[in-house]
Amino acid sequence: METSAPMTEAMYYVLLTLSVPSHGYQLLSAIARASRGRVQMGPGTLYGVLTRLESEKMIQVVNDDGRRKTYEITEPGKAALAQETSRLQAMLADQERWEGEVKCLKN
Amino acid sequence: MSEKLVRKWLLDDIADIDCNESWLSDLAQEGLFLDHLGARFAYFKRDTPRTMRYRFDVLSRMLTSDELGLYDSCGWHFVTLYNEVTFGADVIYYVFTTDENATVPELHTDPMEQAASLVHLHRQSTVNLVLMIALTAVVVGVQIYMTAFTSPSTRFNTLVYGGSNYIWTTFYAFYIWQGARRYLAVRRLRRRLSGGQTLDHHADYRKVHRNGKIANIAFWGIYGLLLLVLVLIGTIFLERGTQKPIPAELNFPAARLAELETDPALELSQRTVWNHQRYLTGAVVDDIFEEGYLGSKRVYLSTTCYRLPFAFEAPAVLEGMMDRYGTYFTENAHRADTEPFDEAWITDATDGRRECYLFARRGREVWCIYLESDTQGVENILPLLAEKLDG
Repeated sequence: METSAPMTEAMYYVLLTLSVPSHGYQLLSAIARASRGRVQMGPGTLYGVLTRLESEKMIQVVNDDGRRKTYEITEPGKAALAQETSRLQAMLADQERWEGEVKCLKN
Repeated sequence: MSEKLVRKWLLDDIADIDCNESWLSDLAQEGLFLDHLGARFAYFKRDTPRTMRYRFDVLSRMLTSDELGLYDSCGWHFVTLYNEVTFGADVIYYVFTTDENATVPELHTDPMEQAASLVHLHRQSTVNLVLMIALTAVVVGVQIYMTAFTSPSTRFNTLVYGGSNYIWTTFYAFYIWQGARRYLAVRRLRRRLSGGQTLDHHADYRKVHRNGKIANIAFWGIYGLLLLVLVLIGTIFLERGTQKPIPAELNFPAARLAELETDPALELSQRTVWNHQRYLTGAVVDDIFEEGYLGSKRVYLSTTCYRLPFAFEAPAVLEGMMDRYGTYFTENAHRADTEPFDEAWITDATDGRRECYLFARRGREVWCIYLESDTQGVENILPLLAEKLDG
């Protein structure tokens, strides 16, 4: 199975929130909501990620009226997001299992 | 009423963004607020000193008004942009500002993503540096080739007249230094960001500015001086073809027509031209052309003396001059080495021709002498010239 490099936090949240087509303003508030206020993304980071993901065809522009662009996630983007989510879940599961094993050894 | 702007020299590369952010913040505390950026200067408006944060965003495309509006709503106000086009690739530097105490998220909140945003700039700086080095290597290589491996005539022209190459070499050296500085700055920024560290927005820029000032003064000083010399040579020293009074004493060793023909009347010839020229290679070239009549017979003597910066150049210049006179000279020439000359060549007047040539060198001096006479041979000039040298 082909594996890609781990995503940055910014990249992950942009892909996650673009399951709903959004423009820049909507994305910033969606990311803050999705991370329960933990991630306050700067505008420089947001447009850097959008430009990169668009060039890597993980997102696409669905509406461009010359003033405002609306983006949405593409199929390759969804696949990359699912792969990264699995990786993070596996890491969390590993961490829980390991802590359980350490607890058993101590007892 | 237009506001008068304060201009400041950009002593650091624009891509050295953390140092530039720090510099702009310090200037704001002195009451100078960035208005716009040029290729070599930054322009500032004066206002009440305030503590401000400046941030650079390096992009490969222009932001739309809506995108700029988003930066603004996040508390980052657009100041200016500088669009750099090199070898077809755009790199656009956006500058934003906010009040130091404003509670706004940083412009870049993810160092890894900011490192990724510098990939385009890194590629551009690498390509620029490689191209500048390659271009300079070609120019210097051509110069070396022309000096060492081409025909004698080309070597002669390069050694005596090829001074403008020095200007171009200086020019390229400066741009290589600029390219290397940018490459190292971008590499440093990317390494820091890729390591998960945010940029130091209060980076110490003073050492970089001091080095930048020294390099700029040195380059523009040398470049200006070379150009000035070139202009001076063009306007003052290059006087070929203009007739002017011969000084009482020639400032270079040459036998005179009157001495050769032992006829003092020839000294008063009105058809005498004297030239004195300097070249950026360091070569000094003096000419004297004398024409007169012995009875009804025309006599003519021309002497060109090349004084070169280095003695090792003299054999190549002598060979080059001989080559310029073509097969007639080379086929009829014979060596006539005599003291104090290192080398001398003569063509005799043969086959009904009155023209004779003499080429000689001693140390860093080279002579090309041409004679038309029915009474004297060009070999008689050598002892006269030797006397001048001894004197």
